[in-house]
Amino acid sequence: MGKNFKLWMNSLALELASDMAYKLNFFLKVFALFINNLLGPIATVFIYQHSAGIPGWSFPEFILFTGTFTLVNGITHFLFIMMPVRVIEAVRDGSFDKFLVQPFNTILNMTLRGWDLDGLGEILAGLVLVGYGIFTVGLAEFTLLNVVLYIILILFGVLFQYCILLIIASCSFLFVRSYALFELLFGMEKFARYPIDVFNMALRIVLTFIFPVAIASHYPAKTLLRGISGLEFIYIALPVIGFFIISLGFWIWAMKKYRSAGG
Amino acid sequence: MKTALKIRSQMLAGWKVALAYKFDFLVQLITNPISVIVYYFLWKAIYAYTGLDVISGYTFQQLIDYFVFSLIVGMIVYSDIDNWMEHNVVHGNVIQFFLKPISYLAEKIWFEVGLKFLDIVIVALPLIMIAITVFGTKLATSLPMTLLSFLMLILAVIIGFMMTYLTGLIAFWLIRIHGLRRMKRAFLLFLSGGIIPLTFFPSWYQQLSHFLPFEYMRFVPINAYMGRYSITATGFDNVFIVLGMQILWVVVLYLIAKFVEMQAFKKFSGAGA
Repeated sequence: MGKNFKLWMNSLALELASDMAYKLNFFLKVFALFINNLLGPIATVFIYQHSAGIPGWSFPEFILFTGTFTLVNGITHFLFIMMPVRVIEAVRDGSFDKFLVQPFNTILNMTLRGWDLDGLGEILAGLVLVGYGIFTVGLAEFTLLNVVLYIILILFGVLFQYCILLIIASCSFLFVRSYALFELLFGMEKFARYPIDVFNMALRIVLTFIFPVAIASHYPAKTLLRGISGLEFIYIALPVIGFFIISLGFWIWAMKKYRSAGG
Repeated sequence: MKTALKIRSQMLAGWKVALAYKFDFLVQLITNPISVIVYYFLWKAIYAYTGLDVISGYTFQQLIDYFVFSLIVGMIVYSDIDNWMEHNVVHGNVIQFFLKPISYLAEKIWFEVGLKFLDIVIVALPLIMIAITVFGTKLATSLPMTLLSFLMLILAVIIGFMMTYLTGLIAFWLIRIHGLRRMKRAFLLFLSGGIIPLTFFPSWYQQLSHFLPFEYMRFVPINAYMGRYSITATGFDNVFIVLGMQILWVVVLYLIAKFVEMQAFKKFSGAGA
């Protein structure tokens, strides 16, 4: 455990050092992500001014929803997003062998190098939006149990997104051009931008059980606002755990196919 | 003849680069319809819940059509040239471009045109087909308006290109401009009407927007295509007035770009050459 933590902190220090080489660019990158994530909610203000809005979600509730999704994206971005990039680059230039012989579990080794500090901008924007939502809805509306479940479901959301990253990384063992998979799998995340109540039944089932992107926004936000039964909790958590097991299995299977390019 | 050859070779270079990324284009073939599907269900719910046929000047079908055209126009107007320029500066190979028998600006323009071909062929055309068959999108029927809106699209591309070129030139001072590019992209998307049409914006901004370049990059050409401007209307509903504003912005941005370019090349010291 100790050596893993040390690796994690060292890779954070390296990432920080490389960002500090171009400080202005770094602050602009973080600020840009912060602002970008507020433009969507501004459009939402206009939508709610001109229409009744999204059925079942008042304006502050929907801001809370968007903030939750932004927060989940931000945490994944901050902690893990560089993981598949490191794997893809290492496989391409043949330096992946070096990670195989290091005295760390390979998945853990690559995961702990996943930092991307830009994600801070997204986390901040998420917190601002969630904060706005919570205070506008009214603090008295939230029970402690729902808050705890909300945090747990946010972690499940991050876990699901981590699984996507793991699948992208695994694909780099099978074919070289795996960057396009980022676009493809995160294209699916577009379904998580709005409450799944707006979709038809078939899509709702897919987004909950088969490709459970709704765990990154809809379910945590709904739980915080309206609570969740034990049974419901199990049926939205299980697909994510299943997805995690499948993506781990996929990594192990794909890594066996790895042939060193560096020679 | 010589100029044609220079242009041809730059376009060929852009085309070749685009071919190298063909897999990425194919992925867009899947992700763009996803955007439309999400938008479709979202707005279907909003229209039903609100109980109105027209929201902010658009019926449900018109809003979906607007969004489909917006994706296509956005894709054609979008330029990544600032990324290439940052790369040129970071790697110090700007000097090579001074040796080429073509100006830096022209080189970038024709490279971009070459890159765009593939976008149009394998991303825009299939998306239009899907929109027509699945989402009931109708193409414009008036030939003069169609031709005029295509002219506006070309002007929109130039406006977008000039702004991106200006962003790219900032790399001569800041070297790394990743953050700036990201901010530019989001603001252009938002202010050009890429998230929602500008008719949803507060009316003071709609007035101000007529005098800014952003709406001419997306909102105006799309609405021209959808037949929302006429030749008899007054003010900014008149097609010739918006066309004139577009041309004005092309000229102004070109002059600014040329001026900043002069300063940038003075600043450039050839490190890494």
